[in-house]
Amino acid sequence: MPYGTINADIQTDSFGSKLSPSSAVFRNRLINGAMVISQRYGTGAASFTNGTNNYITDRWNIYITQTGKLTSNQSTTAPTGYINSLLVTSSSAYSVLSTDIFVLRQIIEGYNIADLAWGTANAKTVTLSFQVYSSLTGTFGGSISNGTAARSYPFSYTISSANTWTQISVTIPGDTSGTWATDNTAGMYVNFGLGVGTTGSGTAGSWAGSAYYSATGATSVVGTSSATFYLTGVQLEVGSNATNFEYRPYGTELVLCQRYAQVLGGVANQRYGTGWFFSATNGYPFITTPVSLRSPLNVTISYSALSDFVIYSGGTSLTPSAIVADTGSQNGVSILVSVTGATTGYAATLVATGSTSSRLYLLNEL
Amino acid sequence: MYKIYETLNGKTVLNTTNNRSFSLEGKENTDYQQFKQDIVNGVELLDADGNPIIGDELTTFIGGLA
Repeated sequence: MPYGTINADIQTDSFGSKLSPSSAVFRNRLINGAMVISQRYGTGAASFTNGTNNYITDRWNIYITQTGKLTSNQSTTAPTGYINSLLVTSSSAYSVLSTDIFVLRQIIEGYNIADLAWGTANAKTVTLSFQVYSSLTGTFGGSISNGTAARSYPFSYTISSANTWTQISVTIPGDTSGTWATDNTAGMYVNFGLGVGTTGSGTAGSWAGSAYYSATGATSVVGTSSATFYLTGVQLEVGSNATNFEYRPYGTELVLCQRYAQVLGGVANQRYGTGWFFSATNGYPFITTPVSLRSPLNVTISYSALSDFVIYSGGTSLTPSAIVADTGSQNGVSILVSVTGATTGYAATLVATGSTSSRLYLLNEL
Repeated sequence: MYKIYETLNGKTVLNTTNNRSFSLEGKENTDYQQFKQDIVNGVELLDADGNPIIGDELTTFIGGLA
């Protein structure tokens, strides 16, 4: 019995039924939609900075305009068929100001939505589907917007039963206006409102030339103390119907995430990379990255703690006083390690101090 | 607090609060944008040796931020 056939233009299953185009692999334009990759924090709580994209699980960030109003982490609470979700917990009963924005979102690179032809007369319809679970019930909101937030489409959805996984599907007509990046910059924002003031909220179900992050009147998660909001199985695909979530292999999902963020280390005595000492104080180890980073390469490097690292050189172990970004290519990053007492021209190998807490973060998010 | 380091390929800023560093070339970098905002708001800026960057030098530096 044949297992299906693939002709030049038609795919069929083993029963001879034609498969629709939406059944193709890699139809989900979102990365890590099942929240399984969490390089930065594991299941630990994320830290937050006001007015920036605070990444939780890979590719998913929470933008806030007030600190201390919520916490977030990868969760093992998940619907059947999933093992993880992203949890947001409200820290207080906060009444959002008109300009406040609390939003969970993913920024999709322009390359990954280029075929949608948004901003043209041929713009394709897309469908956003996800599984959500909350201690709250009511009408919730979100939006899709372009990279500059000059165009946005607020949407709303209903959670009828508290603490119950609910499957949501929202179909969005393609935007025939505006500028939608089709390169390595931010192409599309997919926003889930957690509490958005009136300025950032718009009428659900229509395109607007404004920066809207949620729908007018949507439930505010940060408005109720200890309220919880779980999200997983998030998929954005071409077409008017939601198909089953595309559960990609873990390794594939990790590689997709590593284009934007790579967390290296966590292994005792790990050798991160070797370079040389340009002077008695400045060494430049070069770290070859497992996956090509997104360009342009504006990498942020951070580390767990300086005490987690040493530099091996000339048979001695030197203690770094600083580890900072230098430069690099898509396939590797040069870092400056400051020490005292090195010998110019000697090799410089950056090594973990035997601690599994030693980690280097190479970040090039959108 | 931020410190500025001269590297082989330009200037790098280290945020000593969270151990994050980034090149000053990365104008679209979120950390860069946060840095610019913080410096304008008066957060302390040091050179690699720990000396404060103040006065005209700081004014010139802020003026050069994109």
